[in-house]
Amino acid sequence: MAAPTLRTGRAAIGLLGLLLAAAYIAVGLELPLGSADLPGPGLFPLVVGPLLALVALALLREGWAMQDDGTRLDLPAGEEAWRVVLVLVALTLHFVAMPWIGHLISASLLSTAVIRLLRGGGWAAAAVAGVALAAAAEFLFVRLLQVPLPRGELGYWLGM
Amino acid sequence: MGALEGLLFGLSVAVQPQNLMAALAGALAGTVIGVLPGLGPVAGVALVLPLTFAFDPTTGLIMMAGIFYGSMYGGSTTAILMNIPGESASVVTAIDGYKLTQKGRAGAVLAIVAVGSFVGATLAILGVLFAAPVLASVALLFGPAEFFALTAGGLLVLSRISGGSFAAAGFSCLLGVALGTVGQEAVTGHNRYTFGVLELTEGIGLVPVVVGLYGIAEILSLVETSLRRGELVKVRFRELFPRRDEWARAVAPWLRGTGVGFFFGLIPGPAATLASFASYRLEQAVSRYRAEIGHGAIEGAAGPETANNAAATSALVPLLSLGLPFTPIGALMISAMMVQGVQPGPLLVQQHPDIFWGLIASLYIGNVMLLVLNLPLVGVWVSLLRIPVWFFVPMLLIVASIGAYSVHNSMLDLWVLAGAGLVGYAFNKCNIPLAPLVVGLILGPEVEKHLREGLILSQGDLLYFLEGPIAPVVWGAALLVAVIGALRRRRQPEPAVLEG
Repeated sequence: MAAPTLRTGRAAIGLLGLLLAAAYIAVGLELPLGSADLPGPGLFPLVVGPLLALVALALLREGWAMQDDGTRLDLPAGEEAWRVVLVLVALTLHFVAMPWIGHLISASLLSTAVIRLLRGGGWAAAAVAGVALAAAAEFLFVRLLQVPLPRGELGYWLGM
Repeated sequence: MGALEGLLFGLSVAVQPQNLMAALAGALAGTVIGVLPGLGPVAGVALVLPLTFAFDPTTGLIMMAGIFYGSMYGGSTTAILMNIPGESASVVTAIDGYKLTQKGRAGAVLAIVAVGSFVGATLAILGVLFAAPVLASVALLFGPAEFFALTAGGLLVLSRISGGSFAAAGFSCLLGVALGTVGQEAVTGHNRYTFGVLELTEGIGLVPVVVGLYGIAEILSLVETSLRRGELVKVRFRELFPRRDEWARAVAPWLRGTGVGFFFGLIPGPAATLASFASYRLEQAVSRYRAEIGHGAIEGAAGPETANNAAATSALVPLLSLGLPFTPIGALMISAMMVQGVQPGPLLVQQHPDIFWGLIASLYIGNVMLLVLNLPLVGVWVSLLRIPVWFFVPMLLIVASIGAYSVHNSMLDLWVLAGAGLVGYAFNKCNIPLAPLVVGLILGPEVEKHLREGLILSQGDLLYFLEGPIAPVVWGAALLVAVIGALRRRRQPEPAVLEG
């Protein structure tokens, strides 16, 4: 399947923007407007919302009116697309797991998965490199720079 | 405090051990970022931005400035040696720089470019030294009407910061402004667009948005493409000395490049990239050796590299004096200042002279460090290209998530990071610029603040915003720039998006 054209992509973002602007205005209408000499929190969103809708409409029109010269969006296909999707899935799982298993273990799993995905080869080698990378990050940020990172339920349970 | 007195004070701040270390670490980290192909200076700085929060504001900003300079330097090294520009500002450098490498003059052109970058930045620092405090003192006369004109007019002009079509840039900018309204409203304490989520009352964090838009989006692009690998070039130390005629030919392009760069840094837009292209065109037009440009001429590398460093430096004038980011990298620096609790703008020089003068002085020190350290280490930088993608992609993902999380210790920020990454990836694919979104997110709350202050002061009189000599002039200038830009676009095809 061929990638959508730049025209379609631009119009799709315009349409999404228009829907977002409509929702933004709808929620903004519920905020107190105040008066001209004492403006409330709803005034500024009611200026921004219609302007956002206007530029989203302009983007939609731009996509619509764009000459379709067949320029396709430079989207990944096949294996490349899978790599992007899998990295995103791994990152999402990293965020989901972090409060439970802590940053160190979660980052080790993320690194292992991404290394295995990008380099290929065996899981064992990927795991060694992944754990080393996560441990180095933990050492730099937590030990040296004193950045507090989630230890997770598991971390507390293991006393880590 | 006068300019010279300020510089001396700044030097006393910059030479403190922790600041010297920060400048050194930043310059080295920046060079690594610049050398790694596929990771531009804006994305690179965004990714390591949270590292700077571990230090006090002065030290953190000095480190950030070092990272930026280092990344510009590193980008030109790979452009010259391997025809792989590490960032967009080095694209034109690659044309003549790589041809000179093929002629066996790699060391000489690296040295000339390094000295040129130093000359450009040093002369531009002198300009910043005198211009920024003067502009800041003028801005001290500003009230809500003037600030509203400056920030709202600034939004109008700065939405064109990275090129792209009017609708695309405007959409990106207003999306940023809209995101800036999320959270607890400052005056009344009313929650807006929080949908009952407690963490959202603090608003959408700048750092996760910036790191996601630039960092995560760029990592995803890295994942999808396999990196081009050229043959690694060896440069020996003794080869780093240009011949006398090469030095002589470089002087005029250095000076012209400085002028072009300083000018472009004062204009909203991707200053470093535009300056390098403009300098190349200038050399093609006026150089005595113009016939050789494009075939391996010293002028073709010396001018653009000097210009992009001068532009990066002079862009600090509006940043430090008005709090307006004229470049994407400026938007990142303002993000860093705001996270550190420092409000950039005309009061910066009075309230935080250590940051203001220390940063300016450290730019100079950072450039000396880059000049002294990087040339002998050029072989080391080139060997960084051997680092495989599978190693630095997970490393960058971990750094990005730690950075986004660490500002507020908030899990929500991680989801904002992921969302911003997807938006950045989609915008990149559809040629929609990212920098206006960051500018909107930064300036949007300022526009609202000054609008409300003005309305309260004037008891709802909208004409108040056009009173006095300054506000109408600022509005006039902003509208003029916007109209000229719109007219130019009518005659030209859609301008490319340049985030560098």
